[in-house]
Amino acid sequence: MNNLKLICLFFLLLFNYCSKSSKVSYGIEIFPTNLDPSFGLSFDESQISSQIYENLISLDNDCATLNPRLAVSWNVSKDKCTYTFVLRNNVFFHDGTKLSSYSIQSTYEWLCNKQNRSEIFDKIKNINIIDSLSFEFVLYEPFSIFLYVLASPESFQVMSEHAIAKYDTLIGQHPVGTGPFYLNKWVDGEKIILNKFKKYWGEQGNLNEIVFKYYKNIFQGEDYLEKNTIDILYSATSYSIDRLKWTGFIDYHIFVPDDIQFIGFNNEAYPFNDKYFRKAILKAINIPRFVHSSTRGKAIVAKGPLPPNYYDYNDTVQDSYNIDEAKSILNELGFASLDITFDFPKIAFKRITKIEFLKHELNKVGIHLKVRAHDTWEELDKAIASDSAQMFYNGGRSDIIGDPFNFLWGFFYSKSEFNTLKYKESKIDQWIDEAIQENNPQKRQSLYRKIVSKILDDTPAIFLFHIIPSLAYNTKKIRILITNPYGTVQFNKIELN
Amino acid sequence: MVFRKIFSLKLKGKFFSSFSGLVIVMVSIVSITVFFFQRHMLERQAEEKALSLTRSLAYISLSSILLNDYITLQILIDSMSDADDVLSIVILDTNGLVLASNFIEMRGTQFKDSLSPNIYNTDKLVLHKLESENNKDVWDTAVPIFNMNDKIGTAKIKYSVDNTYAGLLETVITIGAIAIFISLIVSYQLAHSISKPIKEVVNLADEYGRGNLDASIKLNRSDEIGHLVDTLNMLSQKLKTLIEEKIANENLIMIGEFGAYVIHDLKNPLSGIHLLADGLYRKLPDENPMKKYAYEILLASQKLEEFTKRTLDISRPTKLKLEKINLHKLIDETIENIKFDLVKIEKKYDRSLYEINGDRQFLVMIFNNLLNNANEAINGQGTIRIETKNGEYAEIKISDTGTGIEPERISSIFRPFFSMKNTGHGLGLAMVKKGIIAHQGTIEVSSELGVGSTFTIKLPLML
Repeated sequence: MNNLKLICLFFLLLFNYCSKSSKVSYGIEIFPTNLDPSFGLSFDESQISSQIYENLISLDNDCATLNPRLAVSWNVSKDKCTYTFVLRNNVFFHDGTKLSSYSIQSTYEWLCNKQNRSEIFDKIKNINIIDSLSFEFVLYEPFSIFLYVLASPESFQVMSEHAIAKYDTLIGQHPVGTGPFYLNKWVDGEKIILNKFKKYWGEQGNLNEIVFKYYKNIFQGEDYLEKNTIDILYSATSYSIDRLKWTGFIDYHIFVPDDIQFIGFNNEAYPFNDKYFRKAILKAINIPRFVHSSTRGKAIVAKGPLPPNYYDYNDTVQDSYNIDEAKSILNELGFASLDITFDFPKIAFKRITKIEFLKHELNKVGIHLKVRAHDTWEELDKAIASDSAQMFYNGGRSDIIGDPFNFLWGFFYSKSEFNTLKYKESKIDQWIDEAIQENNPQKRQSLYRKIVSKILDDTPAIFLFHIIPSLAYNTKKIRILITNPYGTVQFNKIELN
Repeated sequence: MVFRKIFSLKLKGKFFSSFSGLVIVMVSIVSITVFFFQRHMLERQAEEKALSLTRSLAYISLSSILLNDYITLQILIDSMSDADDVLSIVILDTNGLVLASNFIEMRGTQFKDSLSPNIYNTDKLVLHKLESENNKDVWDTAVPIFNMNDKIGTAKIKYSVDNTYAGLLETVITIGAIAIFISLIVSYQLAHSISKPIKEVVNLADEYGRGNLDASIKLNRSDEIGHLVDTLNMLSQKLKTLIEEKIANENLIMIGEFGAYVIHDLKNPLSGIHLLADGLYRKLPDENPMKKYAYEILLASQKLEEFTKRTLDISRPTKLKLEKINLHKLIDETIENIKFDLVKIEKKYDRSLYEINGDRQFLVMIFNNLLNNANEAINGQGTIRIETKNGEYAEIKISDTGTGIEPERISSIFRPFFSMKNTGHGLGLAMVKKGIIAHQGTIEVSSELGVGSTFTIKLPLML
């Protein structure tokens, strides 16, 4: 009998040890200075903060369906300006306090008062507390993508009202949320350790500890992954994609592309103010060849301005490569030979072959590129703003996945600060204005399609590719890796080997 | 048989055959070892190069496969297949269909070889060394081509380094042959440089064997052979001196024996003559003119008796009566018994030298003889210097500032019946040497005409 007890104790200790040792390491290239959601967080920082904090709503991996998270239900008023939410009961913050409508109010006030706050706060008129678990956001005007914005980790992550009061400006180093993991250890410049929050309301999973380990550059990160120092790495380089696969124990978890890379034109300046000239240049470049040779399969050839997986995505495509047509158009326009400038940031064109490829392609139609390399994106932006750039490399990502509003408004709305193309088309502005007020998804989709078709017809830019975002992970350690559409790893849901 | 032949060779041949044999064996061992090590290293390099080539091919092929651009792929393969060590290059799709190859007839066909079952179901690099293909070592490599997680093809290269092996063997053999050739020359030179002086030494020994002790050679070497030659030269000189001394001693012995025999027979008649002469001298009256003749006969017989007595002393075997003797005191007593005329005697005694074991009578005779000789040599004008030194031996130096001895006579002065004086029998220095030899000591003389002579005696402290 005593022996049986001893054996049971041994297995109990063994089980305890095994369960305690369930740990996963995630490599981070930028070590966070703070995890305050009011700051614009990088992908790595957001990866950490999204384990600690939660949103009211979450976006399904179909990039369309909105699911309850801290809010269990919501409804919209007839004037489309009031959104009433009911919070989940018995949700606790890591400091032991309970989630309530006042937590939402404190978070709103904390985030709203920041200088670099999300655009969502320009839309919210006020927040009304109905009871401890119910509240409503009142908007100035209808904002059709309001719920999608609330689902973004970059807009509204719910904070503990007590922690805000306690830590105030130091909240970034003492994040307290309701997420499945809490901050346990912060070793500056080395690692951040999160541990399982045992009072988490949702699925807790088997993982006890996440170590966010710092690496100096992506090549060291890849080395760490190969040597099992880390288990997950964001965005391995295209140089190493094959090498890591050849190890036999590294796979890629791919999630939704959320960017567009393009060659922009100064649409106001001659000769780029002529859409046929722009089309001629588009037809002169073999985009798939350019994309595949420069990204080695790590990008999707763009059909238009929007990445796939956005609910309005369709098969409307920009004009394809046709050098004869390109020559013919240019001849008609009287451009047998022409020198134009091309501005690009060095960081995006690490491979000289990209530039050489473009030069070679355009040379064939008599256009001679004069390239101007800029050390940073900021320098490039200045050159574009100064009107000195004729043709330039540009791109960007949306912080709201699911609805293409951000892309279309950002790059093509005449008054947008991100409209580097200087593209001004009243119909586009009108359709975007209509779409933002249209809560009916079908009608909104129809408007978006009209916008995309018009853009493709006008060709204000040459849309090149969407980077395929991926996480390389150790399959010996992790059997199934799960992320949300934003690429945030659901550590409480991943399955270990 | 070979060993017998080698052992029957002369020294130079032996040296040469031993050195060169050793060198050839060493060079052969080193060459074989180098060849095998290099071959092993080449094998590893070949593996790495084969994999590296195939990895590069897979890496570069990705874009072309994504674009269905098989022309670029084919150009790429054609450029790679120019290398001698690349036997075949194939790009396969996921179903094993050949997309591009350096063998035109293979394109579009289903690929099949010994490695193909292993390459379709793995994400890893495959490396396999084929046992032989046309007697060549071949590495068969396959590397999957990935588009992110999707395997879209396989790059496959067969690689051989047989040409490199052949080149390596040729190089090792050439270097080995050159090394052996150089070693043979060096061995010959070495054998020559060692055997030549030995041969000269052997020739010198032969000369000595033939009795030519004046033979000598001169080698300007500071090594053992040089030292051997110097020693041999010195030994031959010493041997020559010893032989001369031995002959002299034998003469002395023979003379002694002969003298003793003659003198023994003369002794009794001489005694009779002496007695009769003495009786005659006494009986004859002083005015008798015959008395003068009787006196002359008496003196002559006395001299003859003295001569026979001393001669018998030399020839008689020496028996020492040992006792402790204060050497300085003994020398001083001897000086006192000699009448020195206007002679200056300088003494420099080492007072640590106190007593030795010796025969008093002999030692008195020795110093008496040497001091008398010195006295006579300076002929009343000059200095006699006596110096003693304590050490392993008791050393006594007796020097004079006399006329000196001619160099050609100096080696004979210890021989019996050799005298530089008109009055002596030539037995004094012979007796001195006999006495010193009886004391197991040595005596040497150095002299310079017009400057003086020095006798150096070394006597053991204890007998």
